[in-house]
Amino acid sequence: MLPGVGSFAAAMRWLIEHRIDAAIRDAVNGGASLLGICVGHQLLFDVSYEMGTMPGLGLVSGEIKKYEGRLPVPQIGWNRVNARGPLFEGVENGVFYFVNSYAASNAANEIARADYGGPFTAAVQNGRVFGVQFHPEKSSSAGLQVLRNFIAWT
Amino acid sequence: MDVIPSLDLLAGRVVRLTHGEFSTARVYGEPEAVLASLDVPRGSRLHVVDLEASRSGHPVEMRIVERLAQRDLIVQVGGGIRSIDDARRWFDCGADRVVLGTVAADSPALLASLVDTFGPHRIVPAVDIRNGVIRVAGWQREASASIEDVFARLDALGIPEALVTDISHDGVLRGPSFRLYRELAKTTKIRIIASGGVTTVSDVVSLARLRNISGCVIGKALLERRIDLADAMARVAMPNAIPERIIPCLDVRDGRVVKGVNFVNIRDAGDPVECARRYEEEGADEIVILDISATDANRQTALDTVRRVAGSLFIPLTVGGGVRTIEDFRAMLRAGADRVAINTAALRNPQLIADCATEFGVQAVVLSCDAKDRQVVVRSGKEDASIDAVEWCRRAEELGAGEILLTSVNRDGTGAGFDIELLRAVTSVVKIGVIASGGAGKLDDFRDAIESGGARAVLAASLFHDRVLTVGDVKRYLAEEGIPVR
Repeated sequence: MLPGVGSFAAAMRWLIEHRIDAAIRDAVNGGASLLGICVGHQLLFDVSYEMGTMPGLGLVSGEIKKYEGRLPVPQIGWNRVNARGPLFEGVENGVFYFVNSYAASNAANEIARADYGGPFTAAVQNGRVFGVQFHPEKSSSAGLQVLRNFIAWT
Repeated sequence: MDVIPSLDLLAGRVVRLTHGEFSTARVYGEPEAVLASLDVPRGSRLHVVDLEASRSGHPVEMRIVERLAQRDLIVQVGGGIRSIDDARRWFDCGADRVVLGTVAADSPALLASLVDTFGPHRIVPAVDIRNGVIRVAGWQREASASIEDVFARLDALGIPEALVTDISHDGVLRGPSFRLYRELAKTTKIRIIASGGVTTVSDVVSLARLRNISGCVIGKALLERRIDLADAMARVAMPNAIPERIIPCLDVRDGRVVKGVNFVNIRDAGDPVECARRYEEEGADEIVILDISATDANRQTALDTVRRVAGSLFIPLTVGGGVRTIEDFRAMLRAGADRVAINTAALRNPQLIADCATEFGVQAVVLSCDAKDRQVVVRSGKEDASIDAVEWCRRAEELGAGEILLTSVNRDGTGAGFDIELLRAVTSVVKIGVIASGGAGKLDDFRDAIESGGARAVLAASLFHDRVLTVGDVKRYLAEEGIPVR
């Protein structure tokens, strides 16, 4: 699990400083399953433009950018997703709790999409690596189902 | 639903009159310049009123309508149309539809021949209603027919759409007359173009959620820049995208949930963990804990309560009460709160809002504002802070608050409904979400706080503790009323 609240750059620097970035890559290469949550989900991507340009772990392809829609940022609240795949079994159209100003959009590994003044990527999967932009631990029964699905899948 | 900008024309220019007095005309400029400044997209519907024609009874601004129609706009025009010839002259200019007031309500024969001549889709009856009665001739007299009779007649003629203005609401502080439009949905299948009282984007979204509303005419609010047209159009395209939230509030003292009206007759209402879990099961979208003991001696008890509740809850938790410093704020987050509400301390030191937003992110900072007669009060209403509540909320947004918990002290514990005017006053000047609090008594109140008040979340305490209503009851009701919930 790669959880997270906070800024992308600070989190990434911390991972590098403690050599956790290399450990994560080694583990994934060795066949481990990974679930990134919120900033942890964003860290999986190639790059983020939150506070300049900062490369991420590069485990899924795509970029993290600020919301460009007309709704207030950060998004704080519940939003419905349109999802597929094993992580969302039973909650394909579930409503989840989001707190974010930045997100990927139209990512190559997208398995869930939501809309906040425009479509964005709510979850990704690349092999055994999963990421969810929302907080499953704050999304009541739908969120718990995602966590259960992740555990069952691994 | 179509968002329809409205232009009142006088002497070739866009104007606004006050109380219909021509001498009060405020000039906004040439129609094309106004349309450009509003960013009206091609293909939009436009509502045009020829004021001189409504006074003289003869079309005047025909050249302008001609120019507008050539700009790929779908123009409906009104103003003193009293004959088939008048209507034909507007259609010859390129108008798509004509809007008829007095004729539609009072001259069934002429209305029928207009429909015969031009077709029912090109006639838009304008129905002005005050206190359940149609008014005609510049609102000066009652129409001869009742609302039911007039709509039955329109329906029989095959007219699909009518422009309805609740003139008892026009310019008043409560916004569009959602109640009237809901009533009409029960009596007629005719689709309604809503007009009057639309002052915020939230009003436009609320109208789009009503199933019988096909359009929404906006004049003054666009010209005065209170509504951004592109913003309104984008929101209307997906009015149900974001679910509205229902939030039970636990007032906690010495580790127990308590309840009482205005802090007297406080009674025990149970264990916070049990209450919070029950509410999550019922469908609560978030829990608020307000620690009302909040003395230094009890701070540790409060943190323990937060820790216990957060540890057993899988929805967001907001905690307030006695947060005086950035360290208090941090302690609440560490104990498991997702967001922290600050109240009195922010009034004494507004910089605390900015400091907490910088340190923990704006999403973590909730300004709790208690208002009594529009003034901010502290210490549960015992002390007047001599600050205007609306101004304080606006300031808090600037400083970095992520949301506002707005409590009407006048309504708190009364069950008389939320203070819609207070809510509108705040939601029309801030972009961040407002949680309505104080006054929940029945199901309608929750709907009105969101629909008319513009609240993005609604909070209640004793109503849920006493099991007068469950969170599930409220959410089912809102869904039936067309308001999106989780």
